[in-house]
Amino acid sequence: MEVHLSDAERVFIVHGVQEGIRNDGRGASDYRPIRVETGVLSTTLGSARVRLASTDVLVGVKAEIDEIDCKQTEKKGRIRFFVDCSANATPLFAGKGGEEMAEFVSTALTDAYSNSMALDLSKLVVSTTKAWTVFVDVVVLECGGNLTDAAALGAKAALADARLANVRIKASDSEKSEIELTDDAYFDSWQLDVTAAPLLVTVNKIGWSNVVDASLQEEVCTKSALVVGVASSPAKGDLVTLVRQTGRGSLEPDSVDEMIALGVRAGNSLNRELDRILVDIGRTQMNRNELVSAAGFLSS
Amino acid sequence: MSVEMTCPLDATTASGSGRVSELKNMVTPGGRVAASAGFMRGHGTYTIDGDLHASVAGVVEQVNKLVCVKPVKSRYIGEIGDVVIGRITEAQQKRWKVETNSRLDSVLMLSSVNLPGGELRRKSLEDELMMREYLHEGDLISAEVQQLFHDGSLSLHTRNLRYGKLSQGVLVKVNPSLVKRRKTHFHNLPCGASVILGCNGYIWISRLVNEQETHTGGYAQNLDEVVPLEERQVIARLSNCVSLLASNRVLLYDTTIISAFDISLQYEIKELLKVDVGAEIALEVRAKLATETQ
Repeated sequence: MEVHLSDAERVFIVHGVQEGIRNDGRGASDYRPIRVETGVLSTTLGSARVRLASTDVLVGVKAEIDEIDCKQTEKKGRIRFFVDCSANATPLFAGKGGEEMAEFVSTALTDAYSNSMALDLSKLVVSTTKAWTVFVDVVVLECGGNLTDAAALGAKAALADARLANVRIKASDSEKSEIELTDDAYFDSWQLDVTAAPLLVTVNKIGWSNVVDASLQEEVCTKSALVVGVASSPAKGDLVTLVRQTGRGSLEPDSVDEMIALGVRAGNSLNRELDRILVDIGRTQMNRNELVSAAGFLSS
Repeated sequence: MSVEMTCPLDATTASGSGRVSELKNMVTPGGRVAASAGFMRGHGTYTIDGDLHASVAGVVEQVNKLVCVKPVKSRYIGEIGDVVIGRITEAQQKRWKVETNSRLDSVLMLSSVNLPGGELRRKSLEDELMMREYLHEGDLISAEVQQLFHDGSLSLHTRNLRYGKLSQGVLVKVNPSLVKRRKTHFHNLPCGASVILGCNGYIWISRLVNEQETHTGGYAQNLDEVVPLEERQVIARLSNCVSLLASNRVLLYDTTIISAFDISLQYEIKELLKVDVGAEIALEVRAKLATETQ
């Protein structure tokens, strides 16, 4: 993102953060208002759209049945993340412009989710040789800072929304097996358990303070940032699945601890709030289900 | 720690105001503006079978026989004498390029700035070599439109001590059509901050400027100076108020900004970021405005 700031503006932002009041009046650990919407794409198994101030991401979940490695001791399915920075977000993303950012977000998501405590991938196994591979596709529609956190929120919401069909594998006479689907795949389906799925929190070091949910201008002033993957579930407690540093600067070991602590606190409140929203959405969807089939802004 | 999440289901259904009906001369693209003969085709219009149609969504303006449609949403179209805020993008031979939210970058000639210290003299070769010392890429300036070129780009000048480099503060970007053109665009607000409403939709909010400081043209900056917390809070509240007014399509000038600030005092500053709070405040500002004009 190309954001120019004059030296004076930069100083104003840094001083403000250090004094504990940001340019929009937030404190260091406050998020901007977030809007979460699920079931927006009728062509996916599950989808979500997250708006965090002016950052806008759209996430779709698809799945297909794949062969699994027979030699694998622990049978499990796969989950893969793809991020596409659309040139609609900013002209800089045209061509290969957004690749670096996309790569960063998708590897961060992949690494945060590759933890057996976070998401139980063994549930994706269909038979001894076959398992679901879940694809999570993130499209960045608008960029207003803190893309990573928004993408992770969207991914979790979309996974929660996803419905995988119940399939039966019928052994047939030849080597190949047949996959059998029921007639009504929508009702004969199951959902992933995402209670322990991680969210990402980017903790930015601005001046000597740590700040979450940086705006575009604040990101320019950030010397170094830490992306923390936070999963929490009542049974297992807090779980940090990822810590990754970005930015040019380096960090003191002490401040890394502080930043992780802030990230975990922020991640927990994000998790709690997202769970509440997902329950709300689920309840209203149940009421509406009989009336309307899946409707989103791309259908109709 | 505050995280606020909503889903569109709890959002109140379009709390926006159905005020379009009040604007009788509002047109949408393709809409008929005027009947056939007797009119001249201006900007934002085209003719089909002799009838004038709008090519943009906007307000119809008529000067004698010339009919134009002024677009609601567009880049900044400059007029001579406008106060603008711009950001330096490039230093070239004897001129700076300035980003002013118009279609093309504007030009600020070295000959049309007051040098630091308010010196008025012919610019020498040394001055030309020193140009980056005065203004370098990324710097914000306030300026006035001096001239319009044929291609629509603007020539700016800062030959007045009010104009010049801007120091610590916040820039808020809004739609240029929301800034009301007035006699003065520099305001020292009673709440304790100063605001420059650039006609190009860039709004600069900073701490109160006293008379002494303005005489330097802003070139002497003290970047170690820390703005005190109380002033910061006022600036943050003001910038949130400006963005909430803009997102609710309220015209921006000193009165609306002051009343939005006063109404917003019942909320915390960060609460103003919420869409529903913003809509409510904008509605109250509109109501207050309506009672005052009657």
